[in-house]
Amino acid sequence: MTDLMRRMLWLPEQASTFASAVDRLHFIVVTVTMIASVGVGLMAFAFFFIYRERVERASTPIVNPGARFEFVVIVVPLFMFLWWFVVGYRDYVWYATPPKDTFDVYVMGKKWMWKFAYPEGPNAVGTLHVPADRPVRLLMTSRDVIHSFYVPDFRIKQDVVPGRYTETWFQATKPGRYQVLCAEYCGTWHSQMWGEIVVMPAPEFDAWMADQKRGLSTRVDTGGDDGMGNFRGSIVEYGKRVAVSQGCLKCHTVDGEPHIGPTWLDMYMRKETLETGETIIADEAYLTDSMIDPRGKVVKGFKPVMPTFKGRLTAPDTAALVEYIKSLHSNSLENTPSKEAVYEPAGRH
Amino acid sequence: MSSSSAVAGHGDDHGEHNSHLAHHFETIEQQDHAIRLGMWLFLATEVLLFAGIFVGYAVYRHIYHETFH
Amino acid sequence: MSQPAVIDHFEAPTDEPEYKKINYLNVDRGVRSWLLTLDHKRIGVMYMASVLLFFLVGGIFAMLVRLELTTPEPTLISANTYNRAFTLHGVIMIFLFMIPAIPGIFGNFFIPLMVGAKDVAFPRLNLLSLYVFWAGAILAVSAMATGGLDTGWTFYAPYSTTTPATTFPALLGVFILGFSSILTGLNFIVTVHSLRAPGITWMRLPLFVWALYATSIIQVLATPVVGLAALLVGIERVGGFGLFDPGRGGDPILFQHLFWFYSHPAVYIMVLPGMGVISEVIAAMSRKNVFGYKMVAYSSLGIAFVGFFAWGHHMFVTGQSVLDNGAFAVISMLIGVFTAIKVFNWIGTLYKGSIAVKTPLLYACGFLFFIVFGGMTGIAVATVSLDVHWHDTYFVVAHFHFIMVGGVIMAFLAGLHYWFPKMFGKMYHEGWGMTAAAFIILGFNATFIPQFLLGNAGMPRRYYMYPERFTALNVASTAGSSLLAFGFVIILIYLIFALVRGKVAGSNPWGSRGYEWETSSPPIKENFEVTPVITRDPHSYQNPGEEVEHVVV
Repeated sequence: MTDLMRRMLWLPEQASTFASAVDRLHFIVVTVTMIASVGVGLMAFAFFFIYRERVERASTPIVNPGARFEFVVIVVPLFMFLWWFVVGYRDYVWYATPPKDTFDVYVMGKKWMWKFAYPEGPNAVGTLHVPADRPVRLLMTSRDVIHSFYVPDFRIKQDVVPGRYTETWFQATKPGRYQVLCAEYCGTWHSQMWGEIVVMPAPEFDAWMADQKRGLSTRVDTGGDDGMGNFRGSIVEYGKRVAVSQGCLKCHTVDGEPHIGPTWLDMYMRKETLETGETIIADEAYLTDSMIDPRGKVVKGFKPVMPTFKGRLTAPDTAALVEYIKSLHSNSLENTPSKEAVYEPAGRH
Repeated sequence: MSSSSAVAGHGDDHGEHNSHLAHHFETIEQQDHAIRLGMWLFLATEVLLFAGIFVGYAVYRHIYHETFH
Repeated sequence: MSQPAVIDHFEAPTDEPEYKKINYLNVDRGVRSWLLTLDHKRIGVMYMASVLLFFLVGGIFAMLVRLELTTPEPTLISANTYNRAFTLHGVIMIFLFMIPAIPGIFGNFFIPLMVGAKDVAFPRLNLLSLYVFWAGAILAVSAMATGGLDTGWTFYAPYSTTTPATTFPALLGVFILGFSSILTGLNFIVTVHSLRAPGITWMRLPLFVWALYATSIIQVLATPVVGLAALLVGIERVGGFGLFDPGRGGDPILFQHLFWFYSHPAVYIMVLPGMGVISEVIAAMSRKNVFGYKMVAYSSLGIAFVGFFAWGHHMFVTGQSVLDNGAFAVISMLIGVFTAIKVFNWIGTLYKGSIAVKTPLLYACGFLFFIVFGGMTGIAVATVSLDVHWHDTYFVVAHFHFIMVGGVIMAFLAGLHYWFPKMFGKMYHEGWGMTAAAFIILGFNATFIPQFLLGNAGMPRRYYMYPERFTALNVASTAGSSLLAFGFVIILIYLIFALVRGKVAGSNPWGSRGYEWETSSPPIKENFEVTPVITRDPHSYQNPGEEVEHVVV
């Protein structure tokens, strides 16, 4: 029955735990809407006939609602709408609250592609592999304008906003390939900003992941140059490589020793006092800014000698460097990428 | 401009014809009331227009106070 | 002072319809007399000409969009052209048609008549409103000539602050157009407060006036905010400030809050006047009092008030807190209740009426169906869990077109046909009127019902190319749109014909008891020969000498 309704309404298949809850409410709402609107239209039509003009310029009785009629007319729709609200909100709160131990994936949207990165695994462009029957959390940001990560088969959607992280989660119930569509207008090829989520049964997924980490994968997932030269490793490892090759580590240490420039250990979100006396927080914006315009905000006690890397670092390079810097905090014993989020996305209750 | 064509409908026995009374108002009191109400409404819209700017400034000044050294 | 006339005129059906020889249209001649007029009726007619011209332009962009979407691959135009097409369709339709149409045309023309006044409170301000409208419109449309705007009518930052397309003229145009809206609203509020003729108490105001009063409140309070938002985007582009662009320290979500704080009440600016027209048309065509007059009047105010607090339902998936989303959702539900009240009252007005089915009533019937369908799908998208799937898909596109086209444009057409004989003294051909109505109602369903299904299937908005599985529904929608377009073309033709060669309509062809029908058709420049004194309700249809039957449901 539900499958019949689903097909009649052109809904895609239900491939996540959220989908069936959404569809259940959907069927009720749509049915009531159809009945109400057709009912009103037909009633108007019927009245056209029943109360048709029989005498030209006839006079009519004065008809007014009594208090009871008004009460019913207000209370019935109100309660029906509020009931839908309660069910919908309850489902939404469940959707907006990721469970405790999710499998995390970083998502970056940029015109006009989706990039995925596992905290301790490979990165990919366009295709995301996830295990079935495990909650997966997506931690997302954008490199340029607002995009929106939409998977119709999962019934999930979350805007991807530059300058902040948003999150969403899902638990896929059926292995298969599911389309990702960008759902926030972002320019010329907004309508081609597609991706794919490949859901694999858990054991198959684990095998695939192990394969990826060895770098011996026979499957080609990344289509085209993702700006990292098809580097097979995490963003953080790539950032480390860039730091070495661009000579950052000549002036910045990663072990806490101040050198020609401030140390990167624990730098992320550190409160710094600048030469001018003002204090700033070393967030992504500041770190990126310092690479492009280093003489603008010099930390107190250091000389303004850092050259600009504008033109020498691509956008993926700067992102990777920021991620590398973020990973350097003194409670991790080795310079490995963190296994859990280094931040709390705003609004997570 | 009130140079538009002659106004019908007032009659000649108007009593005192106030030169400040616009043709579409019946009495000077009505015109006065309309003018006052109109001006207050306009001021309200101006407040709304600029309130957004000032509130935005205040919020950003608070959050990024170090930039406003 | 001569004795004021008491309006209690009963037109016998055998009266020979008379065309007023010297009326507001021809009393002063020459282009200057029109461009410098202070007559609210002439201003209304000039709004009509402008607004209908922009409707045509916006409609052409709509057809371009629909034709492009006939195939999943590029069909007629490039991606960039397509993005400009849907943007300009939205900007022109919303700012240059939907918002000014009913208030600018019928509000201007009929509010003074309906309150028994000679003009609006500030006739010169009214003319200024029109000039400002033209100025803003020219600026906004000039964006077309200089490469075109491609941000979508919603101008989301940081896309709008960084796109290389020409946005500044459009942004400035929107800012200026806002003032036209504000001044019109201001004028109407003061008119209703100060210029009511003796006997027209608040509870004797025609419901069209109540609806426009509520609309004017929204216009006056909300429009400054969108003007501000548009201006700030322009300033950010030109001055490089980081208000909305996170790359420069700004907050893109702030733009959305500023934008939607206006744009949600804006949809009530669009729909409330339409609802006012429907109240008038249904009462007149069923020759009956409005069922629950007070509830209809107050629900207009209710929609205006509560509508200010619901804007966040456009931002459910931006990362807003769960609590915010819940609050906005509940508030949005309340607005649905006010609309439900009105729908029941309109059906109640038909009950026990004496109904002549004419073109305006056909449109009113279409309106009833579409507003319930569109309104309840609005409640549906306000249900947060469902909106996660539907947001930014064709479901939302279908929902708002149901309200804006199925609702407001039907109401506009109902009003246009109902008031055409009063405004121009001529009658249109009823047969063609009904034919066109059929094309429009059927064409509308054929265009937009497939779009609900497209949204369900997962097709996002503003898509130039789409996955192949969406093809059938897109083709169906485009086919439907051709019927809709055809209907509009028919209307244009027979209305122009009626203007030039139509039958004389007489002062009250519908036998309506609305106050505006108590003058000649077309009205004289001063509206009334003498100031009217009203002693009856605006929607009461009792013949003198007959026993009045009261029914309470």
